[in-house]
Amino acid sequence: MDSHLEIVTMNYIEIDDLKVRYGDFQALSGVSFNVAERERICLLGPSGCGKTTTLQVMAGFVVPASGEVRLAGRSLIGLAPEKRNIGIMFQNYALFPHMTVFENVAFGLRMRSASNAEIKQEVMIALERVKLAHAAEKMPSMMSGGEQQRIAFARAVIVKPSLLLLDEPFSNLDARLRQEMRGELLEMLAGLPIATIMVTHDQEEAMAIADRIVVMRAGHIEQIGTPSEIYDTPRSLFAARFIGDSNTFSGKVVSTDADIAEIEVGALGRVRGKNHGLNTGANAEVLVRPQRVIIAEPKSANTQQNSVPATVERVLFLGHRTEIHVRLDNGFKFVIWAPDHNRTDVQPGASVMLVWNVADTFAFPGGA
Amino acid sequence: MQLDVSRLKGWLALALVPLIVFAVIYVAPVLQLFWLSLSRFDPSSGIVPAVDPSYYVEYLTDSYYLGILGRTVIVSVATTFMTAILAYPLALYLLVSTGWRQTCLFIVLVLPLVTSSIVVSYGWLILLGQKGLVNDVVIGIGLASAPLQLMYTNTGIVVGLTHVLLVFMTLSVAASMQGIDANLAKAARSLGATSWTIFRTITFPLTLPGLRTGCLLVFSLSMSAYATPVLIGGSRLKVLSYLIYQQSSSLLNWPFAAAMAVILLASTLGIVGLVRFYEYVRKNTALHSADSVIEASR
Repeated sequence: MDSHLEIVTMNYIEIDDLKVRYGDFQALSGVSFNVAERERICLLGPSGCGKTTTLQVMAGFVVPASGEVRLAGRSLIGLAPEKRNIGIMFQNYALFPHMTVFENVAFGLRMRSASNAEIKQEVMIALERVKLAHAAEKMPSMMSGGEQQRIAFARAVIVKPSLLLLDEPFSNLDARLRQEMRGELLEMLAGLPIATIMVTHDQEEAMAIADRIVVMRAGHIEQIGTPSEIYDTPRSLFAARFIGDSNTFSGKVVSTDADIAEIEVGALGRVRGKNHGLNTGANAEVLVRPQRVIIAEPKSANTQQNSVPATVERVLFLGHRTEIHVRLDNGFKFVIWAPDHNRTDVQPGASVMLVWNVADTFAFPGGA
Repeated sequence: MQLDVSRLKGWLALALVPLIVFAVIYVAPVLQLFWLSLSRFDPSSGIVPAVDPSYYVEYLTDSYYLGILGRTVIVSVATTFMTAILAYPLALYLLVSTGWRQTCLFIVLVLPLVTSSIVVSYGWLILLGQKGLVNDVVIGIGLASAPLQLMYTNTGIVVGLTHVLLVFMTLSVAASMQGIDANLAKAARSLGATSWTIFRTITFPLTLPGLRTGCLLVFSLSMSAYATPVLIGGSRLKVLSYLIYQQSSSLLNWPFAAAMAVILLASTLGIVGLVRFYEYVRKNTALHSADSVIEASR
């Protein structure tokens, strides 16, 4: 989180119990969250989770069946999209193909009946800021994908919107370009102190850009938190699986106390993990992040750790980490990320002991 | 590049077949027609081969004939204009409606094409006549005291032609409207544009190619339309196609009919060409002035 957040309004945007129906499909079933002034929020979830619908409601293109959206205390419900002063950057950029780059960026100012002199000045400043002043008279079709993104950004923010919406800004790009443009977007956003809501299905994108992530699923919110909060303390199986990679296995709860559940995992014996609403006798799904597991000597584990025996199957050297694929005695497969550059000490076929902290183990209801 | 060129050659070979067929069944008769138009006609001996432009001179110096050419052009321009105005709301509705509404509108649009134009024109006779439905309504609601003369007028011809040809304009406009990304309108709206501004600044300019195709189709078809103008306009308000029919079938003066046909073809192509040329010039000057605006802003 940015340090300036203490001095800004925490509930600049209030979204309260939004419900949207498309025919028989309940697209949103009670979505509520707040956005602080200048905060960057990512709505993250698989397709059909309602993230895009939420964005459309914010923009005014979808009218909710019930619920409230307030911006700086003022209700947006019933206000036409053109009167909301909300900037949108679309997935495909939606640049006007028959207008020059200059006219695209000038569009919002023209709608506000700015004078020609003012428009010229503002547009050239905006184009200079996105390093495209030289391309003012070109047509959008002559520009590269990255340049089009910058034009779309300049067009959306030139009218000084009270909120910026980004709809899957990178989903049309290949992996390398995506990294590059993410950097560019972060740079552009850095100079722009306005609240931003971005929709994405890519967890890495969300973690890179957001101050807080709203994890959505099937029309409701699973968890709201900073990227590290959601990664380190997921509150549901879905959130844990959607953010970051994890190893999962299922078992039966044999005992619980306030925060720790002990789970019998077939032939593996018992493991202990942080309890998320489990009762004795319930089926449980246990998760642990790949980098939290270490390969250790047998019997080295203490009471604050879980340990299971395994056999190494493959060792993949990936440059920035080594990925070790192991098979547990009951057939489960595990992936371990070792930060050491090249684990030559671990060989395929070797019998090893996997050790990880109980505090890094999440136990959720679910599984067989 | 190598691949592209060889592909191009393949397509050219394929396109050659229809090109040759087109040349044989279209260009050859037109040349034949042109040759015929330079011949002379003698009532006793028939067509006398000659190279004599006197039928052209006769047509283009006679105010009666020129008046008919003028009416044909005016009626065609008016029809093109009317179809263009009506096509936009229809195309918009065609695209936003779904299911049976869309099907119904489509059927209504295409119906005049699949019905004989004689039948369609008789329909208009019933509606536009002195005791027709239109006059009944106009008198009934007190807009006029005596029946309006609608049949056998240029207005009547335009109404009939607009009805028959509207489908060409609507489908051309709808086709280019369909190609417009729906996000463009949303982007414009988020920047403060009202529906009308979006139509004026986004939808309309982006449907110009479709509008152009529609105008070309409707204008050429109006210029050469026969049954509708003849039935609604009657023998008093002749159009050029009727004159050609008269010369060739009643008077058997094929060379004069051929000269008129060439004049009809030339004026259609001439007007379309002039409009294109005007657009070309305007586009270039528009680009030029856009450049200077940006230059000035630096």
